[in-house]
Formats: sequence, C-alpha cells, structure tokens
Amino acid sequence: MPHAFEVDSYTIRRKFFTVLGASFHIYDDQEQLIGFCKQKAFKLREDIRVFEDEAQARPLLTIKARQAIDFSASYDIVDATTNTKVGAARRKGFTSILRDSWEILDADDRLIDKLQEDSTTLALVRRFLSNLVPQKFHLGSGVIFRQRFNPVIFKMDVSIENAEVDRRLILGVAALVAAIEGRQSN
Amino acid sequence: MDSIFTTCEHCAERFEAPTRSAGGLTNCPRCGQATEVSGGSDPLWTALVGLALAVTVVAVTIAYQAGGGPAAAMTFGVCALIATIQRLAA
Repeated sequence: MPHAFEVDSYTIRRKFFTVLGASFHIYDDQEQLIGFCKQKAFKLREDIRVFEDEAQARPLLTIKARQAIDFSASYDIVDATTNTKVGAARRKGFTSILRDSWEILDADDRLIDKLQEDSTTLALVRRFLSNLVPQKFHLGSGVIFRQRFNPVIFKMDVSIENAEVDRRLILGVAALVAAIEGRQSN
Repeated sequence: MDSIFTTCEHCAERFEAPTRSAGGLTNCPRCGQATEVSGGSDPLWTALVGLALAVTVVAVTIAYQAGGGPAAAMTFGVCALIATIQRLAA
C-alpha cells in the first residue's frame, strides 16, 4: 500500500510557481515527500490527480467533478491503483456561503461523514473581514484539517487520530479541500 | 431503492446502480472497477446554456426587426452570445 495511505499526519503545501492549473506537494511528518497533487487547467469539470511523487509516474487517486459548475458539486474519488471508487465528497453550496461544509459519501454514495469548517464566527470573519485567518476543518471526530497561517503559500496539516473513514478517501478529500477551498482563500 | 440501469465500460456488464450516483461513478459488481453511471443533469449548467441561447435569439430578433438584415442580425447575435459567455465565465 502506498505510504500516503498509511501515515497519520501529513502536510499539503501548494507549489508556488505553477504555470497552468495548481499543484501541491504532500509531506509526511518527517518532511518526506509522499505525494504530489495536480489540478488540471482548462478542464470544464474539475480534475485532480494525486501521484506518488512529482514525476507523476504512479497515480494514487483520481478526483473528478460530476458537474461543470462547482456550486454544490459532487466529486468522485477513485483509487487509481485499482481503478475502484472509494467514495465521493459533495460540497454543500448554500451552507458553504457562510461556512464551508462537505458531505462525505461511501462508494455507493451513502452519507458516511461530514466535513465542516470549525466555527461559524471564524468562518464569517474569514469571509467578511480577513481571509488571513487560517481555516480549520473537522471530519467526524477523528480527522482535522488545519490550515497554517501563511499569506503567501497555502499549507494545510492533516491529522488522523481515530478515523473510521477510508484513508484513501481522507487523502482525496484533503486534496479537494486544498484545491477548492485553497483557491478561494488566495 | 431507486435505481438506474447502466453498463460497465470495462466488462460490458449491465447492472443497476443507485439513482443518486447518476452522472458519477460506481463500482461494477462484476469486475469491481469504477465506471460511469449514465444520466444526471447539471441543472445550473443547463439553465446557463439556456440563458445564453435566449439572449442570442433576442439579440438576433432585435437586430432583424431594426432592419439590419440577416447578416447584421447574425453578427449581432454572435456578439451577444460571446458577451454572455464572457459574463457567465467571469
């Protein structure tokens, strides 16, 4: 199993110089590169790939939007090593206007968990006063996505304490959040 | 459970998938691989395309009624369509 699916904590860091689209490096807590995430440019539907490294030789996950418009869009997350769907994430469009909120679905699109921005107050501060306040998300009770304070480069720590959700799904959702929510905060 | 018939793009197995997966992916019960589930519209996208076409038709009609002739009306319509797409994409 790829190392990226086994670790309990990792950091997703946006690559500063990317000509088209966006890309992210994924590091474990020893600062070793465990993944590389690439968001394709000029795609009508969002298309995000997670690879084992920057050479992009071995894909780990494929994330594709079902709709062209990402307001309330659903994203299917596929394990690229076996070509099996591990689940999906659905952005709750109206709720996310005030506070980012996602539904996490299993391979049969049944709701299994929720991902939500930490507090409504801080979410409102980010939207209406300053987007410099880092975001923090809770996925169920055991997974936390914590954005670091960095006005220049998007960095987000993922810590898995007590996850019942498939780790491939967690990595896929983390990549999605970095690509979708990270784009909004920049 | 509401279901929809779909065909696996890898092994050609025809099977029932939940309606909620329409337009997305599901795992084929035979080969286990992710395959697209047919159906599923994007209502907002459809509405935007409809809006762009409506603006074009209105622009062509106005230009034609104003006595611009078919060529001018079509040109005006195409310009209106481009302007609408630019607005929607912004």
